[in-house]
Amino acid sequence: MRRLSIILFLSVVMSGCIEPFELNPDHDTTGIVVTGSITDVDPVHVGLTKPAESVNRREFSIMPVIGARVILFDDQGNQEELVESKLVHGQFDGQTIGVVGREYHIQVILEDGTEVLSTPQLIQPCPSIDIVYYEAVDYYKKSTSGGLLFKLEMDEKDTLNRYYKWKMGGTYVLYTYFNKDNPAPGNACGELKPELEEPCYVSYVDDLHYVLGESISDQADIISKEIEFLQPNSKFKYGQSIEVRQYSMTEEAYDYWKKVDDQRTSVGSVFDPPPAQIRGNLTFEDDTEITVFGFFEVSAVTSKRFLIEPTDFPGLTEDLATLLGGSGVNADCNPPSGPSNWWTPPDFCCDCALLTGSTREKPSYWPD
Amino acid sequence: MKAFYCYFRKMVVSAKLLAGYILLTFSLVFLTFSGAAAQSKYEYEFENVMLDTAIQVVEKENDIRLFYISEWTENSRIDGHFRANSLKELLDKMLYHVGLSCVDYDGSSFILIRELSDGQIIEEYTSTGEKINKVIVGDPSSEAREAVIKGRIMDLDDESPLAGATVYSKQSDKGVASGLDGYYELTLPTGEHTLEINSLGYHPETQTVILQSSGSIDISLVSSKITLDVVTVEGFKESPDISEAQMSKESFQVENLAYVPSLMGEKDIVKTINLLPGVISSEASSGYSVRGGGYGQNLVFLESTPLYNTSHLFGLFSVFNPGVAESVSIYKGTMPPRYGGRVSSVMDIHLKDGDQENWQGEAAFGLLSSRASLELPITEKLSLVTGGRVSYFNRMLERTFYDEVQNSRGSFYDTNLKMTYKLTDSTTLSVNAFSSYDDFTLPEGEEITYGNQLASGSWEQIFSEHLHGKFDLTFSNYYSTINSEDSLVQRFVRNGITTSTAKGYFSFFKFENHTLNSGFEVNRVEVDPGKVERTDPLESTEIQIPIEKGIESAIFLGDEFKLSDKITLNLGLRYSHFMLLGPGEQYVYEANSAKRTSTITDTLTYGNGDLMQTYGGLEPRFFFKYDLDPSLALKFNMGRTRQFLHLMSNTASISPLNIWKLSSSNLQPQVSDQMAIGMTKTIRKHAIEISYEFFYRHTNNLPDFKNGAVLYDNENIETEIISGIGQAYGHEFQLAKKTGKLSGWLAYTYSRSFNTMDSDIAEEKVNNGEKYPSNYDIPHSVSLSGDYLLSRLWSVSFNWVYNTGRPITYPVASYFHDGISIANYSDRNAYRIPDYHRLDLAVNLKGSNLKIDKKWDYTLSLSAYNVYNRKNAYSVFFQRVASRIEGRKLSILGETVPSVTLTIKKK
Repeated sequence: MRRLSIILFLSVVMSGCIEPFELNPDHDTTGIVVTGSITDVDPVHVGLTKPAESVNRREFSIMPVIGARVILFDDQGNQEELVESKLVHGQFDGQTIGVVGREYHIQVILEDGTEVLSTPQLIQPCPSIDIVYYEAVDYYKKSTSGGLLFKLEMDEKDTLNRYYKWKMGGTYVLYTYFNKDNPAPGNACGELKPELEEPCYVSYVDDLHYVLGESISDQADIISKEIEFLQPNSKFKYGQSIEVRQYSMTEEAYDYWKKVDDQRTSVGSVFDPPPAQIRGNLTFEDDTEITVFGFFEVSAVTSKRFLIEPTDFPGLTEDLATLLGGSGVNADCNPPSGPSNWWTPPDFCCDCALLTGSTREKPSYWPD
Repeated sequence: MKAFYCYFRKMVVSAKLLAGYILLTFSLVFLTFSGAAAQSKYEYEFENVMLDTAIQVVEKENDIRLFYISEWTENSRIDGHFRANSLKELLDKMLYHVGLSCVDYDGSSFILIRELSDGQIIEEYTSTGEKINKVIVGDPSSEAREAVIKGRIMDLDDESPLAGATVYSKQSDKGVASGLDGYYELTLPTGEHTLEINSLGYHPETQTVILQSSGSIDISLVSSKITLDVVTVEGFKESPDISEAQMSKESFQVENLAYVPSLMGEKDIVKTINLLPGVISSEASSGYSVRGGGYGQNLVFLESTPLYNTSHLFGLFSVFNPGVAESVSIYKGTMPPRYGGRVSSVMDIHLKDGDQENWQGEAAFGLLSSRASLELPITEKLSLVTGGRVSYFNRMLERTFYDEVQNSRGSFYDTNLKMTYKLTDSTTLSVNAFSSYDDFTLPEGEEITYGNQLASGSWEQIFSEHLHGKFDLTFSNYYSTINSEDSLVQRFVRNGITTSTAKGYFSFFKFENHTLNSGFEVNRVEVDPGKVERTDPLESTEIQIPIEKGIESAIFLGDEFKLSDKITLNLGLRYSHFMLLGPGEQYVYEANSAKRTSTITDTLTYGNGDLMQTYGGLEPRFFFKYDLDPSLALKFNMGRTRQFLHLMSNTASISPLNIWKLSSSNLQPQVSDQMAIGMTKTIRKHAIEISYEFFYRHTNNLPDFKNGAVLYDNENIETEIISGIGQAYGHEFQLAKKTGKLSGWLAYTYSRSFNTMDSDIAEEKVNNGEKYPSNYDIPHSVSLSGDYLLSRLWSVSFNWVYNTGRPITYPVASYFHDGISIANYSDRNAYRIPDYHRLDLAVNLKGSNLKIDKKWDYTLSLSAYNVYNRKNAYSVFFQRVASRIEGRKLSILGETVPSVTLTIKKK
């Protein structure tokens, strides 16, 4: 951000300008993308896709890798073959939940018999989160409206590991116009009787935003991070349980996500380091020039939750809070394909329980 | 000599016969003038008439007869008013300028004789009527066959000594270079010699001497700047000197920058050297690349003191005040043995010594900043030069319409002070101080400051006519800070580098045709990689990344001599040595593993002053020149250089926040071998010079960085460093026209620069170990710079530059991970940003008084930078729009930038 500021500063002062620049590189769409994780709270999940057809095309599709098998191994000799999702090709899930202190790796066997292996990764312990808090701020960075700024502090002398990643997620209440007693054919909407609807509790993790932390000193020091800035939206209409997740990381995983982070924040100026080729911990077993993108990571996870009411947002009255929420109707219950922005709550007219991470059972942490 | 004497005796006999006649004539002349001139009996005025004619007039009017050899006066002329009380006195005065005097034989007969005295200037005329002044050197009665001519070469303006000026006898084909104090000494056969005197930044001088015996003659050269005022406008740059074996060297007088169009009218040394062949820099970049070398491979001296950051305003301007700086030399290839420590280039900037008789001053008012300088004689022996520059950048920011930067603040200044004390004729002491400072608050409240603090003392001593010396003690500190603050935590980061240096330089002239140079230097370097201070409501913490200390020392010896009439050799040898000193820790990493924190197997701890690591080696330097004819020389240079101090930068341009790192057990010193071969040709009496050079440089242990390396606040930065081989090669051509209404030069450079980072460890490879273009690989570069004199008052100057776009790494694929779009980039530097070209124009109006001795001078320059509005790419970067990646081209100076600068100068 500092580099961007310098460039902005010079650019404005010296009457600079920014204009589109046509990229005409030789697009490289060879290779496969293997992403996945296992934690001590979530079971193993792996996705297999192909690189996008173009880096700058407005419309694109993500093609799954068809016909592959994925097997998880640990250092105790256990293994599990993951099951491919029936809804989305190339997405594999397993039952195994990680154990701190064990090493895990995966083997991907492609349709043509070639194999991709990940390097074993050790699940490091993850300490509890020391201090997480939020404060109401009137504005934050480029945002002109108020919101809640979540921060955490962590005493390094208490750390058990060197590398961390934090993400935020939450659980919110969702009502849809689905009449379970009188469902319409297919996934179409039924009779609109929301008063008859039982709410769903939809949990999610915001993968798009993450914060990395590295303990750089053996001395007592405080890691202080701004985790996320939340602005009011319809997810908060009935209150939302915000969860701050802390992941322990291996050094390799930290390097991988750090490069991703650098790539996202680089402005490409002459003050910026050259963009890095990001390579994960997966390679073809046989020496080949085909690249494997992605990372299979392992973590231990600790978390803290906060119940956020609409009135917690600065300047947002209770009356206004009731207006939060969308009114659009989506006739398709299938989760959108490709990258999705989960911050926009769906107003499905279908059964909300079909949504990923959704349940009609009230979570234990949800207040009565 | 013998023939001359016999002829003289014959004349004496003949003269006696006419004694009575001459006496009579003498009396008549006396009577003629007695009424007209009460105090002078004889008075004549001649206006550029032939001397023989004047003699005949005197003979006729005074009825006398002169006896002499007609060849003595052949083609000679006489001009002036002559008064005397006797005919002998009259004739002596009339004939002195041609080296003749007369003997009164009998009152009416006068015999002319050749009578010369040491220091006498006699005039002779060629057959074409061209007058030649010849200086008598030594005792005319001496019959020595060889004699030593010596003296001092000085600036005509301020009598400052000119070091490195060459004195060359055309007749004997011998020459010598002056020492640091301007003294020279040359043994020649007695007789007439035409000496050619050359010095960079000065007009060549030719002086004919009649060497009778050992003697001295001081020679003053006219600086190019005086010619600028009086005769013509000359390009700022001196072309390569044909008289020396050194090549790949560029020099210019800073005063001559006045006519080089510049950004916002700020005359800028660093930006100007970018117009020279082989030197490349991007806009808003504080460093420069020389022949494909890295920014951190250039050494910059200001008054013998190393300077680590030459920029203001993140590189838009340089820190050098052109009103204080006098001259700039840059060595782009093999450097003389007195220089070392960087493998690419050395730039040496000298400040003015100060006028010892009259005060002088200069002030320039620009749109962004103003500067002033003053030269002040305090006593007969003590002079002072001081200068300063200050920006008014904040006023511009306050008035900008851009909300993003309205809250920003920015300012910079620099100051210079130099005092020179001439203790005796052979002892000169000087002290110099320099400070620069930049302070910027970015739109988000982050404050960045950086600055240089330099101080030095110098002692120049002439120990004897054969031995001259110069000793320097210097101190240099560069620092940068970042201060950021949010609602809870204040964070302050500082890093810097400090160098203290002691060095001595000796010139020895004892041996004929040899100029021996030797010396030593000891540098104590302290690198502060970073100190982080963090303050929150509960407590304050401070993290200091370990400071590195080292001592870099060197001794050197060089000898330039003429091996034959056509061959000049300059042999040099330098021994460089480096010690890394404790306290500190050195890490031992797993063999055959990438250097990571997790692969550290041992930590070696050293106490204060303990020797942690040492490196050293010989650095031979070789310079060769072969004169095909007096105007055409072939040259060949080669040499080795070591670099123990490395700039930690993996960006295309260095930023003020970059840090340095000393060599250690995990970071070997860079060792570079380079050579160049070329020719220099002058035509039309040096008015036009053509030069061509081919160069090649091979660097071992060249540091580069892993993909995505993080260099700031990194306690273990060596884990990010990899090393390999650097290769740079290419050729330069330039055509310079130095005089006339149109002056300037055309330069073309073809330069390639590649790195190879190969290793058995995949993480320490770049581009799979294959050769790849470095950030400084700019194959084609053209600069056309000139000045056209419209009249004695008006001139138009211009620059046009073209550079191939610098290498860049493009995204060639993308994929998604947890919904995040990630770009896969090409091999490092596989693509290029668009080519760069730009035209600058300036119209200059000089003050109306064009005499050299004028007291006030002013110059008004109206300039336009980037005349045809080309939106040159400052950088090409990539932004995510939704999930796709789009290219963006940023142009910092994408519009024409006009400026008006008024410079007022008191001479």
